[in-house]
Amino acid sequence: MSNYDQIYSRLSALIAEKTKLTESDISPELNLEASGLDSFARIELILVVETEFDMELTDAESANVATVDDIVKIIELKSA
Amino acid sequence: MLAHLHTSTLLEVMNEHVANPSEGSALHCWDGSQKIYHPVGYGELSQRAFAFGARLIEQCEQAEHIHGRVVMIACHTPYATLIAFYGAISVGAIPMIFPMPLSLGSHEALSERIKHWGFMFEHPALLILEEGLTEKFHDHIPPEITVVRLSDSPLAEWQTLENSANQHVPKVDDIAFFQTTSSSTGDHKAVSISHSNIIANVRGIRHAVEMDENERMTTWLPLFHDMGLVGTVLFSFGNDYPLFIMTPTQFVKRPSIWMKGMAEHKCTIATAPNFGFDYCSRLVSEKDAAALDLGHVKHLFIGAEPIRVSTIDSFLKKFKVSGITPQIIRPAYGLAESTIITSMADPNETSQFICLDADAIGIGQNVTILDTLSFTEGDLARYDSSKNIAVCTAGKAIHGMLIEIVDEDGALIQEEGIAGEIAITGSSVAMGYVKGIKSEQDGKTSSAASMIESFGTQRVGTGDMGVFFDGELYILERIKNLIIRNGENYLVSALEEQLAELLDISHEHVAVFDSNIHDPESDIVVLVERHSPIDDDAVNALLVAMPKEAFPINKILLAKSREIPRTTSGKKRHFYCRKMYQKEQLKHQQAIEVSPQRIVQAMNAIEQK
Repeated sequence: MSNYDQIYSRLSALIAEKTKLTESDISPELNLEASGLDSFARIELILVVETEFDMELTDAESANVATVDDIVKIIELKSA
Repeated sequence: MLAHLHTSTLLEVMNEHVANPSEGSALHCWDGSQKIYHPVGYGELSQRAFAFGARLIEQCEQAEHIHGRVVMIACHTPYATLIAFYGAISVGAIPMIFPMPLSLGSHEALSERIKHWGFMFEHPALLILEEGLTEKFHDHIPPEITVVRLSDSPLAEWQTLENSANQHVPKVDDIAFFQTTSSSTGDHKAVSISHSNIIANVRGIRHAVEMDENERMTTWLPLFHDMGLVGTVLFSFGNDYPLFIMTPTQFVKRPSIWMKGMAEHKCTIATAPNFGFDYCSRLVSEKDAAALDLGHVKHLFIGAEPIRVSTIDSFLKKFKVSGITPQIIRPAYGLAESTIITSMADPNETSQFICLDADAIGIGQNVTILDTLSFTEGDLARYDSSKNIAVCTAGKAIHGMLIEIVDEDGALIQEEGIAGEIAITGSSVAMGYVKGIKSEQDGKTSSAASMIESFGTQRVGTGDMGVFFDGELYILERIKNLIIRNGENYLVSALEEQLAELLDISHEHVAVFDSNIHDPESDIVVLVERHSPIDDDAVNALLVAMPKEAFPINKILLAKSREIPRTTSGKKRHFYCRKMYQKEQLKHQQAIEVSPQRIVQAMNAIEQK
């Protein structure tokens, strides 16, 4: 399993728990905004990501997160 | 420390900070990675701003080309935002701070604002972006807009304007900045604030609560918001108070950090809307609260959205162990049209709230007050929220301001206890609304004065319904159609137009309202008048197509025609929609739940077809 896949797997489980979406609903292309998560819910999700992956995203980084894939890539980048 | 309240313009305050820097007075910005506040003295901050002003002049080639020019600021950090803001002030430009994509919902929403405001005036506005953000925005920024990057270069690298002839010397009644009135709603409305407005409001706040020279402030409010910019940043800057600031995102992620900073840095004044106090009550653990020493806090300013007694109650219960007492809760009422603060609770008394019969609230009606209680533990325990609604005091008008109650025709209601629209006059009342080019017959505006639709000296309606009781103002309801959730403002008319477009009907047949303005968790409901219910496919299509930009709707009710309550002249009565919904009297044929999981289900259903 690639690093991307490992992060994606953990992340989709987190999103499912946080948003009550099922894991089958979640895909790398899923746009968080289009799926109805408002800005507050997205910040809450970022906090969950920060806690789970032990990192802190700046406001600018948080703002650039649009899809699940964006989150995976930023986690990959910051954990490198 | 010195208060700069003898000054008459913001530029004079900046010059005083440079000439006489006070030890300890600084802007302290929270760094989430290093977990510390980074201080920058007000003198140094001003110098950097002057240097940035020089950059703006370079950009425009001549100093006179920057005077009166609008400078749009889109920066994530308070530090960068304020360098740009004060820098623009220093050269006579007109700064205007924009919310960032995380507040607006998307990068596209920010670019839409840039396009709107950028071309409203004779010369395209300048756009200040923080280093590192331009790439993301670049594709969305029209080429006619000049982008100025704000780097965090050391002071020495910048040319300084200190004592330079390039400094613009404003008159007290000149425009200082433009303030959007409901920044996150996208209604493109802004007021013009003069230097004298800022000084009057800062003086008025200080006078109202009898502060001394050694206060220390903290906030997390965004700087595009008037309470964040004027009520906190300019207030601390003008009074030489240190300010410990974090961004709203940092606060939402870890509210306990904000409370810990308040304790560790001995802050005496904290400012937040109801949402902030509610959020701290819910998210800060009992253990963290017990570890905080907040006995030094003198003023907790609360305003900007309806103040809920349940929030104050929860906050006092949670942080009693930290030393927070009912006596330091300071409800305030303000709006951009009055620079920010209009009225404030008396600091010498524990603030009160009145208990009302909700059915008796309406313009021109005599408000039936069932009980008068205060924020003391005993009184809060006596209050029964199931029997009536509670409304917190908003105190008395600050120095220089007059608050009156008027009826629907604008006539003065002199009798105490009769509800009506709150109207204001006085030295903090803004210059007027910023005009768009669409209102100009000859195209674009050509001078600073012509940018404004002046309020003059007449009463300015606030769009809020209020009543006086025992000389104090109480805010009862909103007449203006605004919904506030999680500290964000949503303009009802904009939501209605977007939904109507989706449904291919007139916006006259759509009413959006929050089901209980006293409950921050209550549903946001849409009542739609249409001939017949819609099938599952149409429901899915609607959910997927709904604009996601700041769209907090929970429920759509499809009703037959003529179910939206209206005035005799046909205007929608959102207030009555709420009342009828609460009493389950809103008739409808179909109810559609709106939630992330429902939207994703709709997306999948469409994809499978």
